[in-house]
Amino acid sequence: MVKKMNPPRLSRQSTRIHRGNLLFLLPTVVLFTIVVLIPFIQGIPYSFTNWKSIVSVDREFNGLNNYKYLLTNKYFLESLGVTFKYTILYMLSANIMGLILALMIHRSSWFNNIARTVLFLPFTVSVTAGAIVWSYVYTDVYTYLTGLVSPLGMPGQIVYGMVIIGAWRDMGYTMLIYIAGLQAVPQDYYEAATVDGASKWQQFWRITIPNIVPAFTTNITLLLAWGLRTFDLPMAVARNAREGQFTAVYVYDSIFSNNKAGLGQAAAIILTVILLILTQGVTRFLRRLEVEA
Amino acid sequence: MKRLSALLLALVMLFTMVACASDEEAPATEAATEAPATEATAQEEEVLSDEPVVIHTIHYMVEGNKSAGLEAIQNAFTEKYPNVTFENSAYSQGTDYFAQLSTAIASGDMPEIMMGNPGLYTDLIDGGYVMDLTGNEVIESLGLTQADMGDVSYNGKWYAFPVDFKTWGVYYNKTIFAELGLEVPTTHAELLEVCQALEDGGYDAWAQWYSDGASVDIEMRPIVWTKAIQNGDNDMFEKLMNNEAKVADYPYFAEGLQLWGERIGDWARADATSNDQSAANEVFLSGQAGMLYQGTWNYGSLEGLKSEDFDYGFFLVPTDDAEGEVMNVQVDQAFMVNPQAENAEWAVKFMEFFLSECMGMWSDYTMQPCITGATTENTTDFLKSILDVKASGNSVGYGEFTVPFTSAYTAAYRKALTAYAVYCCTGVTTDGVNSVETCIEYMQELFDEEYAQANL
Amino acid sequence: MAHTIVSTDNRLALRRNTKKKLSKTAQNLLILVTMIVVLLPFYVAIVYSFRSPSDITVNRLSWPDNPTLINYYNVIFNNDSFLTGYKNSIINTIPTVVILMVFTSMAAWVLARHDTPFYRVMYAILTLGLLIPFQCFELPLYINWYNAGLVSTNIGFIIARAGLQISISLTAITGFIKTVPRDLEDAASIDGCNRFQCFWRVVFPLMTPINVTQLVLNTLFIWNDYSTSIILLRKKESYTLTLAQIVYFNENTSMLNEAFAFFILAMIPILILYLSMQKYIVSGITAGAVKG
Repeated sequence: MVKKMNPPRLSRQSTRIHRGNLLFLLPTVVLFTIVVLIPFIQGIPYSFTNWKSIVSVDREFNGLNNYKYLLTNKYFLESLGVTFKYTILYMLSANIMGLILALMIHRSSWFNNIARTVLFLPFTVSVTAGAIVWSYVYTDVYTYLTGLVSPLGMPGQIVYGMVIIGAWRDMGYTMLIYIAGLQAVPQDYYEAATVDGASKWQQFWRITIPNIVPAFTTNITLLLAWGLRTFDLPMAVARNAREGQFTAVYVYDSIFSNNKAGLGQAAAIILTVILLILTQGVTRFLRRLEVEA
Repeated sequence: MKRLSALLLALVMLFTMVACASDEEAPATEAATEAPATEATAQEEEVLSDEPVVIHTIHYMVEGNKSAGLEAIQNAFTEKYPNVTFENSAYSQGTDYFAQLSTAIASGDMPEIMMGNPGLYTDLIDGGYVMDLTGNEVIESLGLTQADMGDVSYNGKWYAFPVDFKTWGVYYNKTIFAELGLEVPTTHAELLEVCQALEDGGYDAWAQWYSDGASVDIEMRPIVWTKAIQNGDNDMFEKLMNNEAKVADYPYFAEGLQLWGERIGDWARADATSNDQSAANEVFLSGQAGMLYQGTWNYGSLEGLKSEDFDYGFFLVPTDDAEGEVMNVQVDQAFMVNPQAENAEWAVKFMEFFLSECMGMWSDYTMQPCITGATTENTTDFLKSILDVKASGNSVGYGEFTVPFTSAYTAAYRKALTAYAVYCCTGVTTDGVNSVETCIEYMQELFDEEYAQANL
Repeated sequence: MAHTIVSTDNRLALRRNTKKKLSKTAQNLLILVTMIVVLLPFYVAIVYSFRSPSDITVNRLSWPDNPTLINYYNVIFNNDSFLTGYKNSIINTIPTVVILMVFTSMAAWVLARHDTPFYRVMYAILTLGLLIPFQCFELPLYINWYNAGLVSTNIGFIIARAGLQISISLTAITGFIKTVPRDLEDAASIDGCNRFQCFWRVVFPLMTPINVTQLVLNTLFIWNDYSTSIILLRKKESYTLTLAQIVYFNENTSMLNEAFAFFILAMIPILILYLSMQKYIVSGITAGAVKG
């Protein structure tokens, strides 16, 4: 699985400084273990039971029944489908917008500084509050001006309505990471390229893009994960719509609202596994690009 | 008729006063009889009362006036028993409340008082987290109907203190109606004529709020509840949830969908499917729409927001039945006591105090009709008329059903209704719903799914 | 070197300049339009927040005829959770972001500089927090916190929120360190610095841009946190701003104008923070440090 890369040099170095490194890692590892890992592991056994209400202690082991049920269940698969649809559109739009904006305003000037502040503003707002404000933007602005139904009230468009909200909020974040990435690209690379007679376009593809691959890795993995875990947004503006039944909402409803804790836990594990596979795949792919660059 | 209801009202008030008196006379013995688990005697209680007590309440009255009302009553109680203080946690009902309540219970964090109608919290009852209040003298002394008590009962036992009730109907803009020379409709056909007349007069017929599942639900109730009860199908929800009957077995759903669809008709606003309650209230109060189908729980908000010259009235949706319209009644605020909580007896004592001495205060704060019919000099005519109808007995209560829909079934039910509302408003078929029949099929499909999951 | 090219053909350079100016204008115009669209929701919120409760108009976009501060007044003085919420949000946020900065920058440095299976597995585990849906371990987390007496306490919230934030921070910082050449560290260790000195004296200052950025971003996440707050903070005196906001954003609410006034008020400290930190984030320290 793990590729061997320059084994002699790395292993020599790692044995020499191992203990010091562990000390550096320790605080983070401890914190992470008690907050995330332990509760997560505690939750896994529930997914193999028919636990109904979390207030009751009755639960029997039912093997893989929950998993079998979910993986063949129309509604659960639909919730995965709508989650994927949202995630892909949201990730692409927020990243593309963020990158374009970053390219246009990564150099400092008074105008660019204002633009950065303004464009990042949406990210300072909580998802729930932002989504609710948007539901009014849709009715007060969009519907008022066009007479058309708000996308949040129109099945088939609800996901798009949410993608706009998600991208509006998070493109400022991706933009910031891209700006940091762009500013880290050594200027002399460009100077050298200009000397070599490379056009702006060529410089963009040969210098800019390869040098900001780490920013891509961060932004893409992050938004992929955020997208697939999206919860607050549909809870705020699409509670009753079938298109608002994202997987995280499905999990929450099953465990907490609908007295199907075992099933919900299994759905959560499935979602986690999917996230794991996808993000690992993407990260691996992007990391390879980083190495090449 | 009016005299009769006035008489009834007076009787209820008399009862309330009697209840107050008896409560003041012997509070300790009462607490003892209702909390057999602890067998507190009057003496023990005297000893207890010196120690500081905190009563923790978890509820979903996040809107200001209701939680303010609760706090005012709590303060009154603290004045009487200075060692008792209160702690409140409020969560919004549709998203967080049930999750927060069950998480707390599951971890052993026991709030003394839990808001809710017991029928929705049967797991809590089965787990022994809800006190059996059967025979509680204060509740008994309120003289409530069987239907009212049904809303706070489970398997024939009482599990909550009922406080007020809700109903729903049409709020209409009197100014617009007068301007267009419209009368309050008395038949379904007349209602449709009113809609058209409003539209022709340059107004929207309705301020709608179908993004909220509660809206689509209450539009159906005057038909579904009323007819089911009138036809003796008191076990309708139970049978639907046990898969012993299908939605199509009950013609009321089809009838309700049909009539409601006709009401929406061609009069849906562009924002009908995206508006929530507050947005629709604004549409109505700004005079854009002549009518608003809404629950009485919004009466306080409308009163608080309306401009001074805004004049509105309220009527029940007209049906063409010989018996005329029947008002739906559902217990709104109700409070359960957790016997496993530290200060359960004190919680019972507080709730008894609430019911016997503070109903008027509650009604004044919240602008809600009290289940006891209690009024004060501040009670508005609107509330009085609602109380009159209830007192006259011309009502159908949710409590007459054997069991209510669980939250999972309610969510499924509302999903199907929302799809239907979307079709009626926009003409777009969603989830295959584009007629009464397809809506019922979809509803059944969702119920079947719930049933399958419950039996994994 | 560069000017030799320019001087070879003056006319070409001139034309290039005009073209550049034109495209610059078009670019700025595009950004201006984007900015307007981005600001639209804020405009709507501001309009609502200045409207008096009874000023209900058909055109909800128009500026209120009689703008009022009553909504702001009501939020500050009549929402009894507002001031507590503000206080708690500040008390909770500051330690959380400081802990995160120290912990994750240390861990990220180690993880970014080593590429053996052990570190890769560590990295994978520590970034798992990005992948696990919170709903999946919400209940066990609460039960553990309740048993430890950490529910409704600032410290309990801080620990939980820092732990939940680790993965995001770590990803970003690790990504950043990989772009920083290791020459300086090597030089420092040749000069006889031990690992701790090397980190705090050489590496940590180099990480200033990402640390400041993370500080701001983490502040946002924690300031706006809803899911963790609602489960872990149950007593009114422990409420944060996001919980004080529930009064407005729920299905039965009608206090729209106040809701939007709250929305604006909750944003202000974050805005100030972002504006004051902005020059750090964007002034190009990154590139400078790398070159040095």
